[in-house]
Amino acid sequence: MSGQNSCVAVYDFGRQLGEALDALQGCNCDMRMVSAIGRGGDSARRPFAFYDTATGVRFCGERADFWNGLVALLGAAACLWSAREGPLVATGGIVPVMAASDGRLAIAGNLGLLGRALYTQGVSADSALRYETMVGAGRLLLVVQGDRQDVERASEALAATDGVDMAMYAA
Amino acid sequence: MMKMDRDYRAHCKARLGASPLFAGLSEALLDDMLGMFRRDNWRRGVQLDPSIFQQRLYLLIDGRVEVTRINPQTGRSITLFLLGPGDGIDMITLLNERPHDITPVAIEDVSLISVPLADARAWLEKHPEFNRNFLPYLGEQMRKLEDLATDLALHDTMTRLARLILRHIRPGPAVDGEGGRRLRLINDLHDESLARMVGSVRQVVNRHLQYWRRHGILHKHHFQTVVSDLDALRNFADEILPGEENVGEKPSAKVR
Repeated sequence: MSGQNSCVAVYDFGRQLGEALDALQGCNCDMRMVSAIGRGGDSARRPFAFYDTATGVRFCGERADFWNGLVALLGAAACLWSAREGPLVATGGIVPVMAASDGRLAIAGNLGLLGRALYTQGVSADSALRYETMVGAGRLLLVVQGDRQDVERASEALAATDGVDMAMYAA
Repeated sequence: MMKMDRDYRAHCKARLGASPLFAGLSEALLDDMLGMFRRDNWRRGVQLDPSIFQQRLYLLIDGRVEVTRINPQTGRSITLFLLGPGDGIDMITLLNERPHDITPVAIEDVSLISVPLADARAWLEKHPEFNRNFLPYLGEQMRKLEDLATDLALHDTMTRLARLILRHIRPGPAVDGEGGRRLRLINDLHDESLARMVGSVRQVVNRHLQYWRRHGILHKHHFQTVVSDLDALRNFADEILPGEENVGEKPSAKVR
């Protein structure tokens, strides 16, 4: 039977992502299974977050409230620089996966940091590459990972939300 | 309402339009149906819980899926269907809700679309044009099972393997001036998978394939099996298979 099951939904706006998270909470989804990924800022010159030893990641700028809210809901957060997608923000269960992702890992499609993390969560290599491009273009990803039944339930909730694309993955 | 990526939607529409299940349906109906599908992906080697086919109908868009049944005591398995783009997986669940003991295995990364079974059943009632495609498709699946059962009961392994290859010859003209014919779906399968399709073991299948290669009946071209001598292979298959009459000339005599 399949070992890793994921559902990835793509949204254009933070408001849509927020509604999707509400839908997941409404279906009693375990929020530890949920991750959100997006671009951290429009320019590499302007800081959009900083780390401090007391509170961890603190976001600043015009999207600070959005990302701080996500961190409060989903837990772990990481701000990263990827050569392909630029400044990235990841929150939730995917953060340790991204941190552990080994750059030497060779995967078809020459995936970047985000693509490798998605690949290890069961997403196919070509789709991972597509998601990297989408995030690079400013879209937001919502990833739910877990048992088949949990991911199925989450996908049913997400199907009713206003997103650009949604797909299920089994690996 | 969640949308589907525009490019992928167009790709799905093209695939479904070419599938016997959806061929001839109006654009509007196909668009309406596509709006209800969810996108699914299975990575190569994944074995899925058969219970998911009691909940949703899965249609293959890209890649191949082997539908097998396994004896848990001996570990032996037989492939009931090898499905490709445009095929539906375990379509029998549309007619019958009983649990079905099958193990679908993705033999490469596959893309699919799926819809709740209740919605698919509603299509059968609401859209007679879909129903008209569905019944012949199911009939074709039943014929394939009939062929498998007949082959297993009546023929030796070499004949079964020859018949399997003949059933998978691509229609149309030869690929080169020497009359080489390409195969569909089984063109690059390894011997273990072919053995599962004819109810044998890898060693026996490998021996027969080597024999045919030595005698110029089959050859490999870019890792793909090509039939070089169709007549000779037909002689090993014992008879002309139904639906295969239009492929080349009839053999003159048996060589075996």
